[in-house]
Amino acid sequence: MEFSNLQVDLSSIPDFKKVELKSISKKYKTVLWIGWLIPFFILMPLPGFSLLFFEVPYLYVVGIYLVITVLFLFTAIEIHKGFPRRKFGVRELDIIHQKGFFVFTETVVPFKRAQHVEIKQGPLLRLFQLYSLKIYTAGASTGDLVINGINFDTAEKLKSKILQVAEIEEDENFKKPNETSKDFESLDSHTDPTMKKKQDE
Amino acid sequence: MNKNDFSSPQLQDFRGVFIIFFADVARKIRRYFFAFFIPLLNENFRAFVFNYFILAIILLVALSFGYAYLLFINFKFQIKGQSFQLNHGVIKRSNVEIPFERIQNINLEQNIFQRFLNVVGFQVETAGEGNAEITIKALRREVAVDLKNQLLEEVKQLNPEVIDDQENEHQQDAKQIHTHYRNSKVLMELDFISLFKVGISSNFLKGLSILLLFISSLFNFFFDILSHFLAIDFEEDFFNRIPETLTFGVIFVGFLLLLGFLITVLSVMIRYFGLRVLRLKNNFEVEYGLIKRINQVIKKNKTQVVEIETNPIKKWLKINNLFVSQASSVQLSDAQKIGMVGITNAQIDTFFEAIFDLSRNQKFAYLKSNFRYMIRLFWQQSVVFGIAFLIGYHFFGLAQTTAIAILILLVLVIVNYLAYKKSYVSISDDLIKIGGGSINTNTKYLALHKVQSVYLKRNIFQQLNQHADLVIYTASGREVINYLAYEKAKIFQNYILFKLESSNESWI
Repeated sequence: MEFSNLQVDLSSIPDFKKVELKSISKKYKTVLWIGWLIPFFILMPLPGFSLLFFEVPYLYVVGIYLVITVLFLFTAIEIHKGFPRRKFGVRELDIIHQKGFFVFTETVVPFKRAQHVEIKQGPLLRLFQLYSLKIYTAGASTGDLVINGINFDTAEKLKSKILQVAEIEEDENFKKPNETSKDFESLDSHTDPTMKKKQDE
Repeated sequence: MNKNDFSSPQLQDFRGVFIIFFADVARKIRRYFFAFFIPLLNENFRAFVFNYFILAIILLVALSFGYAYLLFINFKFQIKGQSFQLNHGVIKRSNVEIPFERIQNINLEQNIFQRFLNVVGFQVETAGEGNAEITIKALRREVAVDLKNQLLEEVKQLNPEVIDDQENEHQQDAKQIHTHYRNSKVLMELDFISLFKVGISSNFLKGLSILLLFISSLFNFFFDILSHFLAIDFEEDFFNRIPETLTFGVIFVGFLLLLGFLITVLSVMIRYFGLRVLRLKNNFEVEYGLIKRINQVIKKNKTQVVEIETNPIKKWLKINNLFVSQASSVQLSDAQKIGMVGITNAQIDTFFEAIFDLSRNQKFAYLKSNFRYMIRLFWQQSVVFGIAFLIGYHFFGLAQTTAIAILILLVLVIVNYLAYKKSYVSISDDLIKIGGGSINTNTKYLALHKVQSVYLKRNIFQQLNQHADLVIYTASGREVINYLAYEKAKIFQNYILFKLESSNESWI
């Protein structure tokens, strides 16, 4: 790899790894556990019960429980070890999010590629008064960034920061009418400027 | 010349019923082809239930015609306020609304049914956000052109650029769509011989897999007949007859390969029949297809990824395939990409310069995949391979299965090695170039400023051996480059972000 080909000095490029990352709320670990354990405990007795009603070979049931145990262990490790790795950070122009133990991902989404920003809260999150922030980018929805388990103030701050940067972009682009995408982006953020999805109120 | 008023809800042309109906029947035939086919091979079935079978089909066809009529009656579009609206659906009613600002492109198209009934299809494309795209199946040409003009009139006030590109088109539309454009140049026009070259140089493994599907449904029938004629009990006599079986096997495999080859050549040729690419300033209009005529506009700013595909035979014939991915709300499948097959290097250069404003020869900094990528491929294949081996062992015995397994393993080794060798990512001042493919060589180009987000992904092994997969999202989907050295991949990620954030250009 020869970067000397390029006109940019490598040392002048900011490194996203140097950003100090913030942890998400500790309560979210409980949310993760509950979200995993409830379905687990509901499904757990099913193979055992099936022995009572049908003639299932014992070996099958033992096999199923083995698989479930392995699954449980891996998920437990993922939640326990992976949780401290769930972090996010904000730079001037982009947002960084990392997570995962078995598969560790480090995502960076530039603010100006954000199409929409949404603050969401599912039933479990509501119980713990936590929120998740979803940043939509253009294209397939797998490219969207979701930060789960942050409190409302943080979510609001992040959202306004993103909108602010995106809006500076829009003003610049108003001179260039060919930027259609920006036009409706601005339309969106003007018609429902806050887009608050506070179901709890 | 606004003789049509679209401000009230409009129906399509009455011929739309037939278009909907035909399309539905064609889709059903394609989907349930095997279901039709298998029972017909059975003698008992032919003798007893055949009449009912025919009756059932007739009934189904009648029902789907009724449904097509309901669909037609419930399909209404109109221009309302600042948007183009569509109400449709029989059971689940839905309302699609496209504000004028979102309209990117309006296409008129004709498939074989539409050509037959002398109507045109009308398609409103958006910038790839949400699923808001409207397709009207059948309009009289005058109505379609009028509607297009009226919509463009509205869009023009909001968004002059869109119209600028289409001006040429729509003046022409007023006369005739399929006549040559006056202001446009033909970039390429594929004659029959070139098309044939494209056909024979394509990867016929794909055709082979279609064939294998087909064969597997024929298998039962085949062995039935054979055991009848030859009075062989296959399982017992197998080992006594190994020489014959082998000859038969070789002939059978050879026959399969030939058939797979023919199917591929034919399907490629039908798909890209009469390929023509027109250039309108920096946008291109592509048209191809024998049975289903596809007519699509490649817009410079909507284009995200340009992929060039070649292989040794193609190199020898001096042709390439080029595929364009435009912004879309879903991950594009290969079939959804716009194909320009049989394109020469000179034509690629012209196209490339029009789309990227750059020549193809940039100074790139390269980062290649680690050899561990090859190991990962083996891991992924080992599951399927293992299962296939067990099945083979069960049916054919150890000796034969091992022989076939070794052959397949050899092929896998070559394919995986090539896949690892050809996998890289590279960046220049304005472009990202991604290499891929195994037997084919694929090179993808995308402009740095069209990137949506970047991430590094490391599974537990990669965390230990300091490697990472680099994933780049564009508005047409994602590109993954496997197994790069972590430290260097990080530099690439930083560089892409830096360029992206310091550029003022938009992704569309």
